[in-house]
Formats: sequence, structure tokens, C-alpha cells
Amino acid sequence: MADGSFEEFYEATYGRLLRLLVLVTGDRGDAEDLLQDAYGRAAVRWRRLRDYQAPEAWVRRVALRLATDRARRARRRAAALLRLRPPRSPSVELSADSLDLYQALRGLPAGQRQALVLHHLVGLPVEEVASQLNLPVGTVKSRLSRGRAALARRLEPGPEVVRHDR
Amino acid sequence: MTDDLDLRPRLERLANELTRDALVPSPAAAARRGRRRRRRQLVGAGLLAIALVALMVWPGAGLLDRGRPTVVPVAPAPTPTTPASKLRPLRPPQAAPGQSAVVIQDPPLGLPGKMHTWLTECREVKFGHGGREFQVPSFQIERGDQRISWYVYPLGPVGSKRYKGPWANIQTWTEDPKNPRDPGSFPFVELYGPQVRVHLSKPNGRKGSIVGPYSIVQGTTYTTLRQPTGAQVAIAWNCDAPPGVVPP
Repeated sequence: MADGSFEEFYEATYGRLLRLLVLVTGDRGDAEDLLQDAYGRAAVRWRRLRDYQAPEAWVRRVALRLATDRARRARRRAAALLRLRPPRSPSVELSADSLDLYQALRGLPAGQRQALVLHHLVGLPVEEVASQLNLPVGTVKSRLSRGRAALARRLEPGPEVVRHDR
Repeated sequence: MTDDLDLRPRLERLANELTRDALVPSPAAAARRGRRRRRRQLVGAGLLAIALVALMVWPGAGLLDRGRPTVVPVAPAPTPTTPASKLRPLRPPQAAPGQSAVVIQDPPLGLPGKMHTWLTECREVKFGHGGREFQVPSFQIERGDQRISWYVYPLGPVGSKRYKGPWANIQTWTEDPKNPRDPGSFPFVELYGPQVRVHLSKPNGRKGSIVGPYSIVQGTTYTTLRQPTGAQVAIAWNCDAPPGVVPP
């Protein structure tokens, strides 16, 4: 990437990062907005960034941090509203399996979701996930383990629940 | 990390479906967004710098860094009752170590024109709170059944709403065992106002003088019995005495 232009870098990485962020945020509009913000920050630093070994990792890290900040702000601003709001539906039509996975992911805490997506979708080793999220490796392992367990519970067909309403 | 859920292909499929027909915005838009953000940052930093500079050149800047102020008694600003030109010149007397000396022009209330006595109290003069930080030379002269004492507050009495700035008084009263009266109920000589000057020979105020025109004030009611004329009073004190001569 030493001699690459920002435009080339952008074209080459945009799709990958959007896929990551759309799974992390659960909303394509949010993901696109965050990604534009992250790329904007990269653009004004491109002279320095292009010499980095992996500028994509820088943008990914910034975008994930922005996603975390935005989620935190939204939680603070309207915690009650978010609790009362029905689960968000995807803005596009999904297959049955993908819809299940989407809903299951949405039910996970943001930290677990980020770790799972970075590790399983992007394919980063645990150490690199820890570096990207600025977390200890042990924390990432724990989040991955708990996230997978939670996903398994939500995705596997369980016994039928009988409700005894009075 | 094992992947019993076969997560990777499922996540990829989900990501593909979610971003299926996503359009890739122009990189120029991202760059513009970045430049706008940088501009906002620069404007913010500029405003902050301007605010900081303004704060530094503001006349009140540095007040917090100055520490305790040195003793600079300031006279209050009530309307002067006697023009400065009409004041009769008066040099403060020399006070011997451990003593205070007084000179009164046209002495009223049966007071002598000159007096001196040993100091009985000598505190450091300094600003501050707590009520004990003002020098009060306190002494008493006995002439038959007449008693005289005088007090000097180079910075004004602590917590007084009536007096702001240098203040001194000379009290005189008679001791009558058959009819005892509060000394504060007698008329007294008061030095107070914009024409009162304090000179501190030492920064801690343990040596200095106060000079100014005086008025006669009725004790207890604090009504002015006589406005200042051109006559003045000067009181000097000198705490530079061997240890034990003046209480600390």
C-alpha cells in the first residue's frame, strides 16, 4: 500500500469493512455512516496512514470504536426507549437461516458481537481481535466463548416451552 | 477456537445478504467528510486558544497564582468631609521599641496632645479570614480617674460592615466606682476615611503609623458628634522590641 492512493484503498476495502460493520451494528444505514466517518478520518491522515502495514486495520479499529461510542450514546440517551422498542428488523429481506442468525446476533451484548464477527467473519486470530478492541486476550476469549454459547442457545431448536399463564 | 455452529459461512452469508445491493459511495465524499471534521476541529481549537489568550491577558488573570497579597491597606471611599489641602501637616511620632506613641492636634475630650505607652499586644498585620489577623495595639493610660486607650486596625476591623479600610480610635472615659459605665458608651476619637494614611515600615506590619483627620463619635450609637476639621491624629507603633517586652 506504500504507493497506493486513498481511492484505491477505499475501493479495495470498503465492501469488507461494510460487511463487518453491518453485522456489528445490525443496520446497514448505521454501518455505512460509521464507515464514511472512519474513512473520512483516514482520508485526512492518508499521507501517514499509507505507510502503515495495514491501513485497513486502522480504519476497522476506528469504525469499531465509533460503533461502540454511538451505541453507548444511544443507550444513555434513550435507554428506556430502546428497552421498549421492538427488536430491529433488517432493512433487506433475509433467508430463514440468516434471519435467525441476525436476530440471535442482535440479542448479544455489543462486546460479544464485535468479538464474534472479528474472529469468525473477518478471521482474525484472538490476539489480533484483542488488539483491535483494545482488550486483554483473556477477555476476548471469554467474550467469544460466552457469545458462541449464547448464539447456540438461540439458534438450536430447543424443547417446546409450555407457558402456564394464570 | 472450535466452531461447532459453523459460524463463518453463516456469518458470511448473512453479511452478503445484508449488503447485497449496497452502493459504494464515492471516496471523495468520505474525504470531504474528513476535511469538514478536521475544519471543525481546527475552528474549535482556534476558539479555545483565543479563549485561553483572552483569559491570560484579562486584568484578573493570575489572581489565583499570586498567593496571599501583601499588606496594602486601602482607604474606603466615602465623600471626604475635609479637603486634603485643609489638613494641617502632621508627622507621625517616633515610637520606641515596644511602645506606641500618639500626637493629636487640637486634642478633644480632655485628651493630652502627646501620649506614649508600652504595647500590650502586637500581632502581625496580614490579610485573611478568622478575625485574629489584624494588629490591634492595645494599651491604657491612667490619669487620675481618666483612662485612655487606643486601637489601630491598619486594614479595618475584621467582618465589620461599618468600616472598610484603615481605622483607629482613641477612647477616653472616667472610672467611677459608684457609677460604672461601659467605656464603649463614651464619645471617642475616630480616624477613618479616604484621607487616612497608613505607613507600614515592615512588611508584616509590626512597625508603622496611621495619620489622618479625626471625627468625634458617640459610642454605642455611633453617631458622629463632630465632623473632621483640619486637625489630625498620628499614631505610631513599634513591635521591634526584645522578646518579652511585647507579647507576641
